[in-house]
Amino acid sequence: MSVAGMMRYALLRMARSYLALLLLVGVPLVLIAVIGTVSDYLQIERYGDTSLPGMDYLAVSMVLGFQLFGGAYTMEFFKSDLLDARKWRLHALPLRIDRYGMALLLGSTVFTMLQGLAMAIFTQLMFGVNWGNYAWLVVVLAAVSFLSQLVGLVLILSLRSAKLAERLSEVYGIGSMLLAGFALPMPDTPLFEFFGRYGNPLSLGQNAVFGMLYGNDRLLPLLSVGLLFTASALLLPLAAAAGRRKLG
Amino acid sequence: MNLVRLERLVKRYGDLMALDHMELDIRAGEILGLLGPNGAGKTTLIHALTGLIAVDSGTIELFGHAMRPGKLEPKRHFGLVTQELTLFYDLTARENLAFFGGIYGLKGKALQKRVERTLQLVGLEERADQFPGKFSGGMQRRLNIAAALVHEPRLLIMDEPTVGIDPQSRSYILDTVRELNRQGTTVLYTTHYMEEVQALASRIVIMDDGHAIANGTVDELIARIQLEEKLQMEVSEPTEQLIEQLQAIGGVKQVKQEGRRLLVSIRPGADVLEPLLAAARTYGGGVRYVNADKPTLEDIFLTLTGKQLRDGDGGEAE
Ligand SMILES: Nc1ncnc2c1ncn2[C@@H]1O[C@H](COP(=O)(O)OP(=O)(O)OP(=O)(O)O)[C@@H](O)[C@H]1O
Ligand SMILES: [Mg+2]
Repeated sequence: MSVAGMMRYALLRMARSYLALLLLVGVPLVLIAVIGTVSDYLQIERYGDTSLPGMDYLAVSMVLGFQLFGGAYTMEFFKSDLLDARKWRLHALPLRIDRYGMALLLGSTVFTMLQGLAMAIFTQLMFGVNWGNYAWLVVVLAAVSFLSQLVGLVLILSLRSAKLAERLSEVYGIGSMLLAGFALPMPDTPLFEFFGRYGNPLSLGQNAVFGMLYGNDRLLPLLSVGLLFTASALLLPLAAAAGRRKLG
Repeated sequence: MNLVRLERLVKRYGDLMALDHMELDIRAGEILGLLGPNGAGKTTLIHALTGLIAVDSGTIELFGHAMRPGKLEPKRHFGLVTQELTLFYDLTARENLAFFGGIYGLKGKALQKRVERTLQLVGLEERADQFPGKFSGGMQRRLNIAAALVHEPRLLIMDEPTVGIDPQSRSYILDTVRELNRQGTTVLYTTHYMEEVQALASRIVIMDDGHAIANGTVDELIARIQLEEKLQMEVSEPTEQLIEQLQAIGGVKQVKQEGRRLLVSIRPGADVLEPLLAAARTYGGGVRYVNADKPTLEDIFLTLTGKQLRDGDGGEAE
């Protein structure tokens, strides 16, 4: 079976993980609807010097923020297929486990992106959120999703305890949201300023979407997406090494 | 021809020798029953021979070639029924089989046909579009077996395929294994259930503490181990003289009396029934009841290992 064929099964299974769908699509949509409707700020000064509708800022940040938790798919599928009892069955098949792992990783990346895309379309139709060019949005979603899958993958493959790996991946997601100043205002120091702008995947994703929409040039959005892919490129060999050690 | 040849196989986990110079041959066309108590090393043996774990030393030959982890080609020709249920619970029964068949390179119509045939073989065609989580334990076990059969392997390796299931499912599975064997599939069948081995296996290997301690047909094992046979008889008048007469018969080892009942231990293979009955008629006032106990696989096992097959029970169904 080709990697694409194995991905198809992974996607089918993800589409049936209803709890994950509820948490990763249902929850952010409810949050966007509730906070966006309740909050009275409609015009805010949020992105650099640009003012943009509060709903737009909220929806884009929420959707990109929840991409950070998409790594849960990679972790769950690697755990159940390649670390628990099912691994014996898969290892007994004439199947290269690295190719199967690649299918799970790509399947999780694509599925998380599709969730993001669905939410983007939904918020545009429901709340008139401006997402800009959808082709560019797909690139941004791919960059954030892939990085988040790799973070999850490195954690689940290098830590002994899957529980700990799952908790740490949540720290990555929530930590990024905090650094981006999305949930709470961050201290006004140069260090936090830097990390709040370039040092976390959510901010980089925001730069990429908002920068393209409202920025003066394309440097910042391109640089941000470049940084996201660079981070992934650095994690890939780590994941491969951890995989060789743990999965044989 | 041997499909599998294991020589002096050693697998250590720390200080524990999970496989301790294990030897095993599997001949083409046979159903080999592998018996062993909990922790004997059966699963470790299966994982070693299928290249799922690396061993410390010894030879593994599968289909005439050395087997080691990472080798994919031999994996096309065996099917492994894992001890634990290893199905995809988010795929239907049919999708499960299609996935496994697909991994073996089956496609399109050919795959579809094979999946339907396999569903039929294990009697799940009517539940094909349901998720295995909805199945009874026995049906899940059947699907667990089917998943190792879609590609029609030459060698079927079953690691306790009938743990904890209802009698119908069990006899269905045994019939299926027999049928597959008739069609030419070689089978390695691991179980705790003596009666399954006795009903299925053409040859038996008993293992304990990581190595084989006996190998042969049930009859061969009984003969080799020289278990004594036991005969019970009830006579009308159990006199002293009768007991003396019985003990004098060649082949009789011991006679115990319990009221009217006499327990006679007999050397294996000794032909003593006629003289026993004759003596009982002459000195005991006639025979009212006779019962001879042939040693069972259970007795063989107990004698060899000093252990019950399964922790805390005698090998009967759970
Ligand atoms: N990964 C492992 N690490 C440490 N010890 C192990 C490991 N796998 C198996 N063992 C030990 O090796 C021995 C043999 O185990 P194995 O699972 O092969 O037995 P088994 O005959 O299949 O038993 P059961 O009938 O309970 O399935 C046991 O003592 C077991 O605890
Ligand atoms: Mg076992």
